[in-house]
Amino acid sequence: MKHLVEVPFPPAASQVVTYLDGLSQGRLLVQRCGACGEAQMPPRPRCAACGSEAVEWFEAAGRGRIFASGTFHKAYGPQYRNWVPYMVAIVELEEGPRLVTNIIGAAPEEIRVGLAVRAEIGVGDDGTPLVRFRPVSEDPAPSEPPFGGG
Amino acid sequence: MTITSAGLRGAAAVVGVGTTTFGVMPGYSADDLGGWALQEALGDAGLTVKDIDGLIVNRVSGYEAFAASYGIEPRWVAELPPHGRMAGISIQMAVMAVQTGMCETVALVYGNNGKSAGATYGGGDAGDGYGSAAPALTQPYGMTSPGAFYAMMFDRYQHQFGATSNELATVPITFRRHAALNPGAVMRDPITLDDYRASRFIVEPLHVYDYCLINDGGVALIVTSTERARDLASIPVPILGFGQQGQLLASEHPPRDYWHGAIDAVGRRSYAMAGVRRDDVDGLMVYDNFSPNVLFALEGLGFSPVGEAFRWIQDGRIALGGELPVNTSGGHLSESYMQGWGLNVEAVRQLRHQCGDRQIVDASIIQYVCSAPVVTSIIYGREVR
Repeated sequence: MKHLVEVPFPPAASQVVTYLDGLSQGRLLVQRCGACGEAQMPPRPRCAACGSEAVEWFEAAGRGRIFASGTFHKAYGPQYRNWVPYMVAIVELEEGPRLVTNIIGAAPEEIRVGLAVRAEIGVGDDGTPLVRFRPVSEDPAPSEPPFGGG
Repeated sequence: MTITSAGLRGAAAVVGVGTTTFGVMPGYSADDLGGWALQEALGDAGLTVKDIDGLIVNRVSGYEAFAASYGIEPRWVAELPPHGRMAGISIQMAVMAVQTGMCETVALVYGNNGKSAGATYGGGDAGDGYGSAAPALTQPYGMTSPGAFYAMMFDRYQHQFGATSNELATVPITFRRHAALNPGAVMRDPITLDDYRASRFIVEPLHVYDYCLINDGGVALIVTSTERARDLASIPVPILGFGQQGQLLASEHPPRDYWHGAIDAVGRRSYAMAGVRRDDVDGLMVYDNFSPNVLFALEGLGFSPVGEAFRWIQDGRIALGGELPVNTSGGHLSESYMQGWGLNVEAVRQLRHQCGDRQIVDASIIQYVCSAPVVTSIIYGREVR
């Protein structure tokens, strides 16, 4: 399957390509099972809950909360040497699935399990499309579009 | 005739164990280390390679080269991927091979020269894979190590249950105290709480002392039928029971239940096959790739209520002389990281009452547990019930 964006990784399964293509178009696509309704990430050929092949894509709202985080003080590869120290988080989307990501626009002391965040889609240094998350206030009336600019 | 799990109870016994020196040994290949450990184990069992008719290898160059080099012609052979969860799986497979009559005497061999070869268990080298099926979803964010996975689990655990690193520190501090009594341990100098708090973070909230050591070394076991074991000179240690449960559908991200569900299921299966109760366990060997895994295993097995292990382990409870001594060799945190193999050998040595200063008095049931995307546990004893 030809994909829209080249990423510097070994050939990815088609569902991963679909996900990355979605990000490159500014869309946070996640999967939902057409048979049982469970949402899942990472994307897979079958539903992890019921095993059905009827997995479908939908665009997530982009709202979620921090599930967990950790701060790397060690670079596990030369490409990370300039990053250290850096934080990686797991964000749980309001639709249920979780993503590995980074938090932007937050001081380390603000980061906590349960913090409300919103997705911002962008591009990494090597051209890979990324989704990162920014803290939001708990104010229910957002004054900005759901996704930031690329 | 169907072999039921009760039929596996005590069907096989460990009759030989062997360990190399652990440390930095750049002159040795993984096969050299595996072969060294095998030689130790054969000597321990009073056997020669020609008595071996089953072989299972892990982290050596490969089953073909290893068998050819070391004079083994197996009737049953297997090689498993270099993940720590495979130690328990290998031992379980060896029991089943013996019980089915596929072979009679299995050599299980592990050889690891990763330290000298520069492995870091995070840069895509041999090691346990956690959620690594799609690197494009993890590596661009800098997520690239099992340690980070556990750091995040402990981050959430702290938030959920009110634990802090001060309580977690009891795990590495206790295991270091045990290692001081183990001549084979790599790290034996005591750690204080101040040492721990001052030590560098690797992936915060975990400190360097929360991470397993990376060393070169080899470990081997010889498993045979309980009947054959009676003819041998060594003290046989029957494998009374075991269990396994995957969490492969729920391990792309840190699991919400810290794998408690799977650990509980594996514990129950193991105790049932062995015909013992949790209370019968005299000592626990926990796969301590990272300190928090000890908490999750204690809770999953039910030694501690869920969310309370960080308190339960205090006041010497998991130390030698305490209610449930854990990792009496020093474990992966202080003896060496032999991906579970060394912990199983320690279980055997405890049951032979050969552990000297670190002996659990009157040890008669020792449990091994590994919590990972595949959970395993093995119950060892001194006699078949």
